[in-house]
Amino acid sequence: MPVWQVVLLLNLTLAVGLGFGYGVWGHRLAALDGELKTVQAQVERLERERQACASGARVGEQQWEGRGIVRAVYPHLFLITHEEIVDLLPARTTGFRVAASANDGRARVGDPIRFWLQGTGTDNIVLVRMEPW
Amino acid sequence: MGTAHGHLLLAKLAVLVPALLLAAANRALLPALSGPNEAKPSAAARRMALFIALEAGLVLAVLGLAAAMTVTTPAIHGDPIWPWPIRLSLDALPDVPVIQNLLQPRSELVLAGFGLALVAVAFLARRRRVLLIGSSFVLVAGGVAIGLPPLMVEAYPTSYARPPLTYHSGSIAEGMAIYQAHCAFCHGAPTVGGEAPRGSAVDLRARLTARRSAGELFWLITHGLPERGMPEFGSRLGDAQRWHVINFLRAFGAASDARRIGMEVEPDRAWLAAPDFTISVGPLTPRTLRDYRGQRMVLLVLYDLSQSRTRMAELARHYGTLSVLRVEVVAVPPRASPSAIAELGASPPVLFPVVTDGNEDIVATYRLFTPGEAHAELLIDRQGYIRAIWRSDETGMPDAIAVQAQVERLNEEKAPPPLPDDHVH
Repeated sequence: MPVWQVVLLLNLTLAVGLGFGYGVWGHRLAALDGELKTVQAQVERLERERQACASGARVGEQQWEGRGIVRAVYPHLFLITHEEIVDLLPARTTGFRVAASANDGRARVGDPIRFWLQGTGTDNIVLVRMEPW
Repeated sequence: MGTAHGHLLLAKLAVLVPALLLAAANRALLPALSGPNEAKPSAAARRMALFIALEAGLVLAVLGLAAAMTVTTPAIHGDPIWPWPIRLSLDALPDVPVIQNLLQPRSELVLAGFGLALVAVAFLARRRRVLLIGSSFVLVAGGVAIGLPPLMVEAYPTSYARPPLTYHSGSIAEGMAIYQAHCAFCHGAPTVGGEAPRGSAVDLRARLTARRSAGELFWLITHGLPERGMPEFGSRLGDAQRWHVINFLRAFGAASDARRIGMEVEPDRAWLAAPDFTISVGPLTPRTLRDYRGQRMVLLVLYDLSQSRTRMAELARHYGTLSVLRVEVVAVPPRASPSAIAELGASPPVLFPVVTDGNEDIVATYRLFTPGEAHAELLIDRQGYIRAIWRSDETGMPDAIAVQAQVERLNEEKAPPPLPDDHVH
């Protein structure tokens, strides 16, 4: 077999092998990326539960932090236009139940605040603390 | 034609054409290679070898130019420098329907098609081929000679330059201030319906100004028009300042036509692009008008509490309904104030965005479309076009049901208009 054919064959083999390996690892990479994101979300969830426990929450409850502007104040409900609350709510205006201990009567419409929510999900979260932002 | 990428493309085409001609000549030489005469095929073969070598060289040059193009900024992203003193523009035609109808592209196509048909017949016909080809070229040249001169307008190196600044209220307001300081004395006040220009100064609200490209306006502002007494501003204003003025001129010209926008939405007639603006509500992450494109309409409310309290309460009560109809209300008081939301009061609760920063730019820009101090509302569709304007002192404010009716008209539009460009042209 002439030398140039040998060289050509070897190069073709190398190209096919590289392409095959790239394709396989590319798929594996996507799966690994997904696994990493899942694990990261679990770690963040555990961290929120730990913070909630430290502030006296029940087992299984999490704590989220948010920032927003008070739009309406009712006896046990605040309407707040807030930024995205990671892993809970997108940026929007939401009504939050306010724990009695969190409402000191000083919040007014238009006040920018940082606030903390406690609960297990969007159905039962309660605003437990707030401070001026 | 005005970019390095374009020059390389033209060079590539200029090299490709001779290569193709050489290939055609080689093809014509092929019969000569198999002739009965011993000497002739040898001469033909040598000529063919020479042509093939030349063709190979030209093809290598084409490959080299193509490689150079891959490392050059594509023309669409470059800043073209127009090399000729004239350019072609349909906008240059006067508003005469007869001329416009005569010189519509379909007329040129008919003429060109006729010429091409003659060329095709010439190739098919054996006799009088030269006469037919000549006639067709005369026809095409005649069409060009008649059709092109009226389309030629004066051009400058920056005629096709793309503005680096977006069509944003901040830029327009800045441009208005610069215009007031440097241009208003000759060209008139920066208000729709303001005083006319002095002497020979051009009315910048006129259609002539709107037809000039942004790049041409940039050149004229930079270099002036000494023959007409306009000074140059290239040494007095920076590049960014001049582009601010151009953004203002575009808004100014559009605002002059905004009187055609009424209280009712005209279906399938979107033409007035709404300048982008930043919606800053307290310390929250700012949004822009552009963020609502494709998602929600925007009812922009220019209000002053001294005259708008009742209307704001009405909008607050109907905000839920408008939200369901995918309308966002954005309220802009005349001045920036961190307490703007609190000033609206707690009952009824105002839940829509109230701009607390950058108000002056937004008001200055949109007051071009709704002059005066009255409460005004502009309905901006999902593509970013202003579709209805209401003013409390002229048209009166529609009730919530009437606003919903206009929104539903927009929802019924079959084909949404194309998105407006973020930059003026």
